Amino acid sequence: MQKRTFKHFIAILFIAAFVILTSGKMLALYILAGFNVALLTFNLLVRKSLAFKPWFLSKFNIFSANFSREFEVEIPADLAFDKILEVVAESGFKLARADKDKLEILAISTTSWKSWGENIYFKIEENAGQTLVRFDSAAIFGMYTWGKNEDNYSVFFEKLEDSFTI
Amino acid sequence: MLAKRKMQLKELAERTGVSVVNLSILKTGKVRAVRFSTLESICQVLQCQPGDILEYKD
Repeated sequence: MQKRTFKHFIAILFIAAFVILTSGKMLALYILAGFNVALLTFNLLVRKSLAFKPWFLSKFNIFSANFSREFEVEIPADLAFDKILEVVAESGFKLARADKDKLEILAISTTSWKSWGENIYFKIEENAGQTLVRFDSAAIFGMYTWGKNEDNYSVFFEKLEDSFTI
Repeated sequence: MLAKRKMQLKELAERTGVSVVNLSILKTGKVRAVRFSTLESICQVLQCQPGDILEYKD
């Protein structure tokens, strides 16, 4: 079960303030619908860009629920980068961007009739001889993902562990 | 063994069907396990025995 976060609190405040301020007028519904469509369109347009990673992962972006984990791998960073690229393909994610200089990867989880898919970001860092991988999964448009972000991590991590048996 | 056979990692990867990344990780000794089929294909291509490519270090 996803924990109540700061984002959920802000989202509830936002909706409550909107309902009170507009006092249930029909125009308010149109504005809300228009805002949602505009935001979804914008997110879909920028989803494949690594430059918008901070936008999707920002704690102030209440419309994109996200999930983060950091783990260590026992191989050098450049090798970890190639390994993650391999595992991304095996996990059923679609590779959107890969920047070997910055050691950053952007993948997209499978889309279906009921989901836009999530953006999955990887950032590899070498720190004091350790290689750390930061995994972030963010919804394209949704305050709550019903565990899909966590599932993406589980699928990826399981495949990564398996991939060390060659 | 690769140097002895004057072979590059990329060529070994192509001939064994094991990716360059996995062979690189194998070289660093960081793999969790090696399948017999992988070992067999590497030995077949390099024309050597498993003992020639595996080493136990205390």
